[in-house]
Amino acid sequence: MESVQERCTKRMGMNQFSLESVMFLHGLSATFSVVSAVIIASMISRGHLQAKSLRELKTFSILLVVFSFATNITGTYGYLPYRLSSPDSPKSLILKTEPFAHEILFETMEYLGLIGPIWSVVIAWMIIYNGERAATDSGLRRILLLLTILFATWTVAVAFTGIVPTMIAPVG
Amino acid sequence: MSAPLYNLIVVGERARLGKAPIQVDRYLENVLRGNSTRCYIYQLTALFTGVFLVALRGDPLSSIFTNQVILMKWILLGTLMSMLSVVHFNIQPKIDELLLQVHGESVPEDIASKLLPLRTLRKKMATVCLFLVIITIILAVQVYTPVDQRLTLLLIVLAGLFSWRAYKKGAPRGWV
Repeated sequence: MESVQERCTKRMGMNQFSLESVMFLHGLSATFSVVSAVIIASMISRGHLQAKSLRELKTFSILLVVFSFATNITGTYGYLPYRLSSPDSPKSLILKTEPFAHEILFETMEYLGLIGPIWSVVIAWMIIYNGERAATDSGLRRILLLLTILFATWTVAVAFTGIVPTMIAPVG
Repeated sequence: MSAPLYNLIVVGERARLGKAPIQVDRYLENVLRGNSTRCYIYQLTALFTGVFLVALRGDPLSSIFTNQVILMKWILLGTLMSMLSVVHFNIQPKIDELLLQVHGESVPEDIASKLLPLRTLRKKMATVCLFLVIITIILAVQVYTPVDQRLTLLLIVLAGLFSWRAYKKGAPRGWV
């Protein structure tokens, strides 16, 4: 008889390789989200931007949105096999060995992680809508800098809450 | 590793030269600006060849996040990319804008005084970058066969001393 995990993976068209690849992309897009946020913060804090730099800033803000959504979409893909009720699912294994990693860390990531795409869209919208003012208007610049630096810090913190359960029982 | 090291050597040589025609500064900045793009390519190459090596060995890709040494290398690479981005998108354009304001044959005092803190910060970041790259190499050789932790610690201390020497004197005798 097929296990719950096998049934789930079959129904969703998952195989081990695709699951591994998607979870790798999850980590990769989270890392690139942080790098994109650092780039945006670096550009905004310059104070003024030429036309070429402004185009680059807008491009990086769109990339931030792409990476942020990619992080959540790939995370959702791995979420299903993670939470299976079978005794060999990562969640069951973690609850048996280190319940803290699931009950506190993973649960935190699960909810806090949802803010990421919305947050990135806010940053991108502010940059694209305001154009050069995003770098020249000191009030706007300060808000954008704060939003972007907080986004990078928040992503690193949420990544930590995801890495610890992964180190105990990886999904892929 | 060679990119931050040789940047430090070149910057050290420029400082030793003292007051020089503006062409010297423009030449130096052209070299350093070009290195940022090269560094991005090297970093992305290191990232994807590293992932390829994990897959080639038959290990699951999740081992990138479950193997502590590979995870540490991943974090260090992310840090290096972020630091390079700060230099490339913030410090370097500020230096370039200041040099664009120079119309004579040499850099005026007021611009030189604005250039100095930016160049010093960039040099310090290159030193930290060199240190992190050497740590990455130290970790890279022990991904699957870790060496004694005390030896790793000793090597990290030596990497720190080497980076500091490269910052201060430009490593005139290499490792010695």
